[in-house]
Amino acid sequence: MKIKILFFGILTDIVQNQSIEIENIHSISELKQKLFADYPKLAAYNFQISVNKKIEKGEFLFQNNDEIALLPPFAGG
Amino acid sequence: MESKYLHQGAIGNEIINAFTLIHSENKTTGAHAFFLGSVRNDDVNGKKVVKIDYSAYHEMVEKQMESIILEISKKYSDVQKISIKHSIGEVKTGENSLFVLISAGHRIEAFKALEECVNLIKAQVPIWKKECFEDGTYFWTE
Repeated sequence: MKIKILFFGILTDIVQNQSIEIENIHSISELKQKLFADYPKLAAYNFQISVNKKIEKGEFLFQNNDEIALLPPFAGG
Repeated sequence: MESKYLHQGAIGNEIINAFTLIHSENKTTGAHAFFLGSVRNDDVNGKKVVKIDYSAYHEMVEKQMESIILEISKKYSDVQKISIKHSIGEVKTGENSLFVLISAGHRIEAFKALEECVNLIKAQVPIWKKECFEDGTYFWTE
């Protein structure tokens, strides 16, 4: 199973990328575990997670080709 | 990237004029209230902000803006039309980065709806800003 992860705001500086694709990650908890292992600095930042543009606050199971985004606090205006 | 709710660069007078003209076509409107957000030359740790570089999750911006417009329209039945433009990319200090125009039958609903709409945009729309300083460094605002 493949999913796309998008990064925004300050998180693009932390991971040095705007998007990555990863395989064999099935849930938000697995995703966080992998990202914090690959990018330890990420754990210090606040962010919400959206799946296909909808914010998911709890645990969530991904489908193939889901678009996941890590959203730091919004700062429009 | 230009889209329904995002404008590349500063919100200029031509955009404000165009929206005002469109809103003025409805003869049952009694009040047009607008908000114009500007880029301040803030001082952050002794360094002056010269511009803000806005970035966004474009597809989600559209979804969130539509949801806010629906929510405000449902809550304030006197509101007739809502238009929103937010800048994307670079906007210099003194220039405008957010325009919200709300037209209603009467001023009280227009004022209330406008304040709530701007607050919702700031809280719910996935836009981020990088405050850029004279020396080329920057700071992500939260």
